[in-house]
Parts: sequence; C-alpha cells; structure tokens
Amino acid sequence: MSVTERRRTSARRESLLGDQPGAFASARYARITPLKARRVVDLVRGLPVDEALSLLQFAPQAASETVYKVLESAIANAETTEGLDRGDLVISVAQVDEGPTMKRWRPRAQGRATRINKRTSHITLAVQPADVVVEKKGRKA
Amino acid sequence: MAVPKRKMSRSNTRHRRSAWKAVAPSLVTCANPACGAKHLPHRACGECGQYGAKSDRRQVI
Repeated sequence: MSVTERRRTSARRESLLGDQPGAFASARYARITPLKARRVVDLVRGLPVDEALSLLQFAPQAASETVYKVLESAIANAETTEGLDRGDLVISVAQVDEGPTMKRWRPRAQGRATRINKRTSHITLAVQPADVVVEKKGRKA
Repeated sequence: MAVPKRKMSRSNTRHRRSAWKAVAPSLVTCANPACGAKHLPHRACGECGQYGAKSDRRQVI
C-alpha cells in the first residue's frame, strides 16, 4: 500500500490528537440519535481496533454498523496517510456530537399536533498506537 | 388520567440514562484451523461456514 505524505494539519486533528501519532475519522449527519450512538461508542472506547471491529460486527444495536464504518475509515487513514501499523492501534478518542435535528409533525387527537425530532449525530473516532495511549494516561494520573 | 406530579430532575434523568448500557456480545474463535475468525457461540462461522467442535464432529454446511 502506498503511503501518502500528510502536508497540512487541520484544526480538527489538532484538537483530537495534538502532535501525537494517530489518525481519526468521522461520520457527519448520520441519521441515528446521539443517545443511541453513544451507547455503542461507549462499548468500544479504549479497545484494540481488531477487537472493536469484531465486537461491532456482532453487536445487535443499529448504530454499530455506522460506527464500524467510521472505525474502518480511521484505520485506513492511519495506515495510508500516517504509515502506522494496524496491529497495535487502539481507539483513543470516541465521541458523538449532536447534528442538526429534522422536525416532523404527527397529527394527534382533538386537532392537536406533536413534534417528532429526527436527530442526527456526528460520530468521531481516533486511533493511536497503544504505547502512546498508555503514556498519555500515565501523565494525566 | 394519571399524570406525573413533578418535573423529573436532570439528575434523575441522567442517572437513568447512565444505567442504559449495551452489553458486548460474547464471541468465540472459530475452531477451523484454517479460519480462526470470531463468531457467535452456537452459530456457524460466517467466514468459513463450518459449525461444531474440533475433530471429525465438525460439520461443513
């Protein structure tokens, strides 16, 4: 696989990873509510990537499919643009932010109407080599 | 009609939501020496399609 050089760093990368080795990927405007997406993302935070992929493949939650794709993308970013080895990557940052909410109206009895919120999520995963994550944890404690 | 008497506090809402967690599925490693993928226990392997223990009791589906 060819390794392309990363020429510039985005502000997003700076806030997620700083100057440490690693890569991230995000799915924006995913049609899953943040509450349900966080339930899945909380499962995989801190896990080695291969373990997380097999977990997501068999988890019954609907959000796991989207999270699986984001993780695959983050791993691919780490391998191709950062030149990191897939084997020792762990998920260092896993967060779900709220996207815009689509509003829909549901007719109810007595001429009333209630609102249905169709929420969207921005799912972000960052992967880093295991030794970097351990070091970072040690410094915080 | 029964209606809630009090507004539910943020604390109570967050406490309830923190208890709503997903459980990681338990996975086993495929006994087929040529495969070795992860799959759900008591199911056929999705990768190689085999089911069962090691040795000759192993079924190819």
